[in-house]
Order: sequence, then structure tokens, then C-alpha cells
Amino acid sequence: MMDRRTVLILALACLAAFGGWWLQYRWTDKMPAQPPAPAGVHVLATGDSASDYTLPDLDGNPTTLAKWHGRVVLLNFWATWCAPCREEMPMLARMQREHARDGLQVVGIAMEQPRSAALFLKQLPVDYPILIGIDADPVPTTVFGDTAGLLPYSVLIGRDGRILEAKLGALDPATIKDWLAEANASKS
Amino acid sequence: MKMTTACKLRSRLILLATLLLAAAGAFAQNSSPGEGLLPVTQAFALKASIAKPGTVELHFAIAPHYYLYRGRIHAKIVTSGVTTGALQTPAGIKEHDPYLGDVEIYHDAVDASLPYTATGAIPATLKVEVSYQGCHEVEPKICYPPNTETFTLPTSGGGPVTAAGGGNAINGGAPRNPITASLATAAGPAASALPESAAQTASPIGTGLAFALLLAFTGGLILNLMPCVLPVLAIKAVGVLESGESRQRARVHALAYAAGVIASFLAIGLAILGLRGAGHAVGWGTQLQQPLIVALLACVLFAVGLSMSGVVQFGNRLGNVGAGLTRRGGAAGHFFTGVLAVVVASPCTAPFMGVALAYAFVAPASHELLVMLALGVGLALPLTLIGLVPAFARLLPKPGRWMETLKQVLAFPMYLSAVWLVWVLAHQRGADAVALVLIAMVLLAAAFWWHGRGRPGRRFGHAFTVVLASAAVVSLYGVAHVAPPAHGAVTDGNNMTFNPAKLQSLREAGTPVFVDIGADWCVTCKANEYAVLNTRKFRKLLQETGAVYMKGDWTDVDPEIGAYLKSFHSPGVPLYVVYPRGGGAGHALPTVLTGSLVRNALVHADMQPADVEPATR
Repeated sequence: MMDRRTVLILALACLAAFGGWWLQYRWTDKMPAQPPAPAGVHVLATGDSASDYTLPDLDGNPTTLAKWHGRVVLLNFWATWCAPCREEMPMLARMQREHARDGLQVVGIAMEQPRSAALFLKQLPVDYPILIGIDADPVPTTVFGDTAGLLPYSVLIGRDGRILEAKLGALDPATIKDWLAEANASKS
Repeated sequence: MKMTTACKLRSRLILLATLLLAAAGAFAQNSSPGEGLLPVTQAFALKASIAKPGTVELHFAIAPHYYLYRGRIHAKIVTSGVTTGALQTPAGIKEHDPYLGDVEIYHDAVDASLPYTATGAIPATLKVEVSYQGCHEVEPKICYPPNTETFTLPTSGGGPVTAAGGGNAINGGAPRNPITASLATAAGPAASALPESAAQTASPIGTGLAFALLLAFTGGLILNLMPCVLPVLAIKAVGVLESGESRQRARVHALAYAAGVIASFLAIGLAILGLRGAGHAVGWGTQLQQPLIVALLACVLFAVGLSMSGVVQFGNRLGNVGAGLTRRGGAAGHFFTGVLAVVVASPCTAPFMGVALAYAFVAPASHELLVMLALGVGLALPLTLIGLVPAFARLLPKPGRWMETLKQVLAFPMYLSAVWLVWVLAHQRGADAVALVLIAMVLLAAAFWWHGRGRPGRRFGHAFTVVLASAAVVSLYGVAHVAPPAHGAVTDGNNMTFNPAKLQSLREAGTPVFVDIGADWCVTCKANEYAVLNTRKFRKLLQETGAVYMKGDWTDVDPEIGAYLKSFHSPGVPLYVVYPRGGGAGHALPTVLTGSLVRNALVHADMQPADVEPATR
């Protein structure tokens, strides 16, 4: 009835249509590309080790990420002026409570002066450690791949200190659970 | 010889595949900037000027879906010998923030003024530092870090300056919204007399348009493959093959066909503009809210099916949809085929089309028409190319007896499409309307049959055809007068019919709500119901999360639902919105649902309050 040529053309057309749809589906979920980092700043990528990275805590004491070596560290960059950040923080605190046993360690990085961060945390206490990223040079968000400094931004670091995932925009519990499973699977 | 043909064929196929994939790839690449976030200086485009000595004017043009915090705009003059006064900003929209207290935000545009005094002689230029901070309020919800821009402004007056542009003068705009209008500045808007810089303001919209046009074009191309359109076009292509007409005639006919398609789309575009102007909620598929149109389309599809089946041989003068018109009809016949292609395509939505139409339905008139044009070009392109470029025509298989079989086989999708429309009608107007449309179909078949068997010249024969056809039309017209069946509001436990007042009271009570707005003529809605919403899993999930499932039906015209769709900028259905526990703002889900997506949304909606409440207390 129809020769092979026609069938092939039709199949290719369908394939291309499906391919286009699939690409759209994949790409629309993705966040926009970040602008390039300023010259001379080394941006960490997936697979790079972040163990040596150091920031001061609320009291000004330098804290190195290696402190949580052996745990799955979820870095969460936030600021008081960022409404979506504040919305996800109670959820992060809850995930920390529920999944501490699975090795999860949430670490908040405030892009904020220590005083206003501390004031804010009095209103919204979270039971995970907070580091101060505002005065660090180069800017911590840039170092971890968020060169535009958009918030909220989260980075997943495996038990070996290597970066596994990064996400711009608010997290949800399902993503955190998936990340945790991924980190726990990759340790072996 | 055989080898060269095979090679030629292979190279052609490779070319075709490359083209298609390149198109898909190009599309994908373009989707990123279109969907993505703007750089901070585009999201909040800032211009500064000194129109009158003593005051620095600031103008922010805020892109749609972005907002600025009033309290986070700061400005100071850093030139020595100049004292900066207090920054004057207009009142914004008040919002209550649980941690920051009452905050004010700006959308669209805002003007601010910064008074200054010089202790000695006024310097020739002033250096002004402006910092501001804002966020993106739809997904992905993010905030920009505070941004500081520095301007060097001549004090002797001159056009506004952008930070990046340094000294080059770019004109400021006239106040465009109430916020700007309510501004209490001392200075007169000297620069506003100049026309607004097109390049400055048009760029985000321009990106949107290009992207929408690309989507529309791709959607139009894919529309060719939809089950309601493909048969008509296949028959048309077969007709081109059969006719063996000269190249020049083929070219004229191809162009006539394209003109028919494009003219129809532009007509639809104009109709939508007219309806929009009259304040109606329109979207793709809205036409199927009219029972008469549904009935009419069902009859058209049925008639096309009949002609393909060869059950009725239309007379030479009427011409049959495919080969007959191609052979007999001139350019007018081809134009008509183009119109028919759009008519049969109207109940279909192809991938990509949704986004483009969503854009078109809220875009300015010229952009809306351009999107329609792109859709038309996309739909018309394949057949037009076959007519215009002999190389493409040669890609088609050789004419033969298989074509008759193909024609007959393709009649069946047409019948099924007609059945679907009758089913839609059954939901809209009940059994009476179904009976009327079926009668119209039978009368239509009778009219065609009588016309086909009648010999030319017999006046009575023609008259009877007209009588039968008129009877079919009367029967169809009756559909418009059937009253809709009474839909009782369903409220059983966690399920209820959509009702804005009820939704409001549920939200006030803090109950999580899953709103589902669909329509019987919406295939995506039905697919989602089948795959996700009508499953036992979903019911269980509702019970677990305590969410109320509120279902709205847009099969028929409903102003309340129309307004609700509009409030979510939804061009049509489906629309799924999840309201979290505690009465927070609704969050729209993608149009194609999956089990895990719905589960995440509901679990998230259920969980938020427990976490937030203790903290706020």
C-alpha cells in the first residue's frame, strides 16, 4: 500500500515531533543559564570537592564544610529579603529533624549581615547551623555556581565532600528525599 | 541506476531528518531564554535623569511577573559638595509579610525622585548610586540580590541615562500606570516629551514574540499530523499526485491552498480579537462551547468521511474533497481545501500550540495576528512545499491503486472524530441534541446520495437535493435551541463542583483544595482524568492529605470559570490549581499531570502549615 519510503518519512516526522515535545518538556523544567563568573573566580562544578570551603558562623568563628565530612550536606543560600527562601526554611528544618538519621545535614548560608540574620532567626528558629556568606570574597553563591546570586539556591554535597546537585528556586521535600537517596547510593 | 536512485533517496531522507531535528533542536535552544529569568538590569530597567536642577529623577520599568520592594530602593549622590535629601517614592501595593511586617511592592513601573542641594557651586556632573532589590513572583520564584547601579548625570539637564550607557541619552517614558501617576514629585517631567525608547522597552516582549512565533510555527507543522487533519491532507496530497498537472499549475494551486489556510487563521485571529474586545473569555477550544459549532463540525467531519469512503460520489460540480477538487476546481477549489483543513483542525491542539496561543490571547492585537499567521504558515507549509518544489513531490510514493485504499482507510479517523464531537454534544445538551445532529447527518447523507445519483438536467432532482440539505440545516439549527440539561451541584465528602464562593470559604477555613477545571472537548483533560484524577490512588491521596477536590466544567460557557481561568492567565483548559493548607495562594500545576507530580503538589500543600504555624506564633 504505502512504500517503505513513505513509512520512513512519516516515522521520521513523528519522531521529530516527539523529540521536539520531549525537549520542550525537559528544557522548560530547567533553570536559565547563569551568567559567566567574574574573571579569576573559580566556580565549583558537580564532582568538585567543597570540603575545604570555609565561612564564618553567626559568632564569626570560621567553619569549614569538612566539619560535616561523612554526612550528606545540603547547603541552602538564603536572605531575609527573599520571601521564597523564608517559605522553605521551616520545611528544611523539618527535613533536618526527620532525616538526620539518614545522614542529612542542612547548612544555611545567610547572604545577610550576622546581626540581621540572628534577629530574623529569633523569629524563625531553625535547628540547623547557619553560616554567614555576605562578606566572603569571592561571593559564595558564585563559587557554588549561582553566579547571578539569585536566591533561594541549594547545593547537595555528598559524604565524600563532592558536589552532587544544585538547584535554583525553592526545594520541595520530594526533591530532598530524592537527593538524599542519590547521595546515599553514591557513597558505596 | 538503481544504486543512484537509492543513494539519492537516502541523501534526501538524511536531509529531511536533519532539517526536522535541527528545527526541534533550534526550538529547544530557544525555549531556554524565553522561559528563563531576565538579567537583573532587564527585570528592573532603571533610568536616571536631572530634568530640573535640584532633583534626580529615577524611573524603573519592571518586567511582567517581577516586583520591586519599596523599602529596598536606596539612592545617594556621592559627588563631594552635594547633600542628598530623602528619596521620594510613591506608595506601592501593600502586602503583609510575616517577618518583615507590612511591605510595599511595585509592579510595571515606578518613578522616584531624589532632591539634592549643593553647598557651593553646583558641579557639572553628579555621581548617583542607586540600589534596589526585587523578586520574580511566578515559578521559578526567586529573588535577585540587591543590585547597585552608578550613574554620572550632567546637572545642566538632559535626557535620562542608563547606568550601562554612561553619558548616552536614552529617553524616559511618560507615566504609564497609577503608581507612576500618583507620584508626588516636585519636578516637571521635562524628558517625557521625548518618545519612549523602543529598544529599551520592547526587548523582553520582543523575545516573547519571537519565541511564540516559533512555537506557533512548529505547532502548525505538527497540526498536519493530527488525526483530524492528516486524512484531509493525505487525500489532498494524493490528489496532487493523481492530477499530474503542470508545474506552473501545481505552483498556483499550492499557493491558493496556502492562502486558504492563512486567510482562515487570520479570520480566526480577527474573530478572537473581536470577542476579546467584547469582553468574552476566549481560548483555543472555546468555539467548542457552542453546541451549534460542535454539531456543525461533526457534520463536516462526517461528510468528509463519506466522501473518502466513496459511499457517496459527489457530483462533478460539487467536487469531492480530495481528488475531485484538485482535478476540477481551479485555484478557488484549492483555497477551499485550505479553509477546510483549518475547519477540521479547529478541534485539535498540537504540541507547542498551547504556549503560543496562551501568549497570543493576551498579547497586543498585532502580535496575536502574527502568531495566527505563524500557525497558518506552519499548517500550510508541507503541502505547499510539495506543490512548489518538485523535489518534495518526488518524495511522495508513485500513484497507484493503493491510493484508493488509503483514502478509504483514512475515512475512519474522520468518523471517529465525528463520534467524539457528538459525545461532547451529548454532555452539553443531552440526548435531544444528539438525536438532532444524527438526524442532520442522515439527511446530509441522503442529500449527497440523491445528488450523486441524479442525472444532470433533471430539475426535480436538484430541487429534492436542496430540500434534503435544507432539512439537515434545520435539524442542525434545532441543536442551538436545546436547553442544557440541569447539572446538579455535586457535593459528596471531598468532591464538589467548582464554586468561587465555596472555594473562598474553604481557603479561609485553611483546607487544602485541588481545583480541576476541564471540559469534555479537551483531550488533555480526559487523558489526565484517565491517567491520574479518576484513579483510586488519587482518591486515597485526597483522603490522606485532607484536600477537597473541586471540579469545574468549562464544556459550556461559564463566566465564573472564565474569570477564574483568566486570574491564572490560562488560555483555556485544563487548569489545575492546588491551594495549601492554611489558606495560602494557589499554585497552578502543569497541564499534563503525572501521578508523582500530583502527589508532590498535594503532599506539599498539606505539609506547609504545620511547619509555618509554630514559627509565626
